[in-house]
Amino acid sequence: MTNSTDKQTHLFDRPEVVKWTLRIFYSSCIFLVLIDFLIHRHVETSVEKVPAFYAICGLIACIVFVLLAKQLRKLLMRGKDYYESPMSTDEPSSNNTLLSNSLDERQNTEHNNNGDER
Amino acid sequence: MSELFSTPIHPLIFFLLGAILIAVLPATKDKIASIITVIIPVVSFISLLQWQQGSFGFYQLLGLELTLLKIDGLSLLFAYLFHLAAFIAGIYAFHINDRLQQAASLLYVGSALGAVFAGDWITLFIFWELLALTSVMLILSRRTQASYRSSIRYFIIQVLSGVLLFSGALMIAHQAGTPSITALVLNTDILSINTGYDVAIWLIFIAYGIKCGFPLFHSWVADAYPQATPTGAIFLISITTKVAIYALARSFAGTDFLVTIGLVMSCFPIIFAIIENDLRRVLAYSIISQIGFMICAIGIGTEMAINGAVATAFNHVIYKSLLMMSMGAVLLRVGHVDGSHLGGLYKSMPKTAIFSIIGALSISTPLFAGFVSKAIIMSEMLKAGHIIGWLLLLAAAAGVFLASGIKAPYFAFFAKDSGLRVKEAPTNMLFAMTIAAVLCLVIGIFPSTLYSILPYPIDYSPYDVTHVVTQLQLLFFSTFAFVWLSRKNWYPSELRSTNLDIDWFYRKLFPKAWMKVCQFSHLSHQCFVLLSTKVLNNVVMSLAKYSRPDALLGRAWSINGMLLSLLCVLLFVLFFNYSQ
Repeated sequence: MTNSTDKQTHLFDRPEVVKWTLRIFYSSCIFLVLIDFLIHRHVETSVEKVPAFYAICGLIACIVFVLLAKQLRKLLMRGKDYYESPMSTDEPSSNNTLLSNSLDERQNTEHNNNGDER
Repeated sequence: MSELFSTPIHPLIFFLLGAILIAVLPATKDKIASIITVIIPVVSFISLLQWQQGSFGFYQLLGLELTLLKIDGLSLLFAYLFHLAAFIAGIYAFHINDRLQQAASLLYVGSALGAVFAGDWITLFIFWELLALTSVMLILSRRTQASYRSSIRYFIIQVLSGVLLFSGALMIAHQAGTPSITALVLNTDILSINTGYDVAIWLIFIAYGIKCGFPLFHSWVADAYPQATPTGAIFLISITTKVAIYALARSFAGTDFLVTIGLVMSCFPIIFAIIENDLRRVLAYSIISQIGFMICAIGIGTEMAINGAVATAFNHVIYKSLLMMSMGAVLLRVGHVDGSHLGGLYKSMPKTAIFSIIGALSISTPLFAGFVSKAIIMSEMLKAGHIIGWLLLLAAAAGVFLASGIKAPYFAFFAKDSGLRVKEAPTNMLFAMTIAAVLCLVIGIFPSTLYSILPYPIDYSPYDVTHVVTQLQLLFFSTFAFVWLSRKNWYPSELRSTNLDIDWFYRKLFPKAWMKVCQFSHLSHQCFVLLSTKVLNNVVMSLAKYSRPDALLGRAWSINGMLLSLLCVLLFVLFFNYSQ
């Protein structure tokens, strides 16, 4: 892992690419709403008869979820080390099992090492 | 054909042999161990293709007639799925050199196969516990303090589920005379439960519920999966919860209560996923939400709904593995998957980014896998008359796309450039992701490939104009909500934090309460000791005081006085003797 030193510009570094991506996205959204009036949707429930029902449903559902999440975060969010500090003292005693022996050995290499790559 | 070939070989045998081979291989033969983890699922799958439906492998235990292998369409589909998942995950884990993880993952898949083929609850229980025992190794293998603690919590919860299953199984075996797995009727009117049989059914229901992460029992999913190794997580998300889905589909299809549970389950994790920073935990919450869809379908219980549930389970394993694999690759290269400290990784891991996007699209976009299976559940929901439920599932489909489909790839690979420049994922990981991505597309474009192996006959076409347009509207506008809220800065920002969940009760409240109880009992013990020593001391002191030579008890009494006292005592006895 190295920090960025390269000055090479990538696809989304260019503002016009981002702008056009968003424009295409917004136009697709408008197109999808408009097409709703052109095609004949077969509906099974009365709520589906509302024009662009699915678009409204998707939009409202997501906004409600996000607003709920924002409120819930106030209630539920704690510090990163809320449950256990990274250097907590109540570690498993090292003379009990093979496993904890290997745990202790690996303590130093724990950072940035996921047990997969050795 | 000879008798030998007509009896199928239990797949566990292949996986057990593989695990033993891996365990005894000399330390220098690392690549061979990796090859074994990939080959075994292939060999076992080929053997599986020869199978015919029926029951095999009868044996006796505890005086009960048990069945090791009960083969039908439902169990075969899950067996195919687990072989596929094991093969992909095996390739994904090809680079690792950790015998514990490799052997455990093979045994884990073997036990899952044992569980889906089990013909009775006792056999199921044995494999149920084996699943717990083998899968915990995949979390332990991360070898960090956090994963060690998480794995112990995971193990306790899984074993608890097994114990409940065993209790229920024994009660049913006692009442019904046989422990064969059958459809069960759950008595949801709690007040009218008065037979042991009803209680037994509830025990089994809760055991299954714990394993598939019902609301209130779900915290182990979000706790343990993000602590697993990058490769182990792929096995974990593919198997444990799906075994529980299989078991529910087998015994509780058509239980109305499941629809309610499924709806709660599909909606509430989305809120947690939105505020979560660890992207693998985000995916864990989205797994719970997706399982909610399957539970709803099982609750409806028609043949078509069960088809929808198992098809969703099948696709879910593939696309969620794909998403999890891309996050695993990030974890391997960067060392963490905290959304707050990632971003811009598409510059250095472009292939992984593309696979991640395919995984996200596969959640429910037309032409990708999730669409063709979830469509069945939605239409069955309407047919069953659950309009509110159908609306909630629609909202959940939009929400889960926002909370995991957009969020995970966006914050990892795009968003604000974190300046991280890492190597692309290892070739084997990319290869595994390619297989999963191709499968997502093949199933999405040619749904009949999946429909043909479903347990019940199916006549359904997800691709009509209405369906495609409405689904695209739903997804485009949930993306629009994300874009709009992000630009308004209303989308909760990514922060390194801990979000409390049900696990707070057993990680914080209960230990704290227990500490208080311990402190109180320690204090009261000390008080008691102090008080009683004081009282004893006083007694001894006063005895000593009155026993001195000239004190009341110590001095010499005269004979007259003694006789007088004796006379008094005798009169006393006499009086009471005659007064009665």
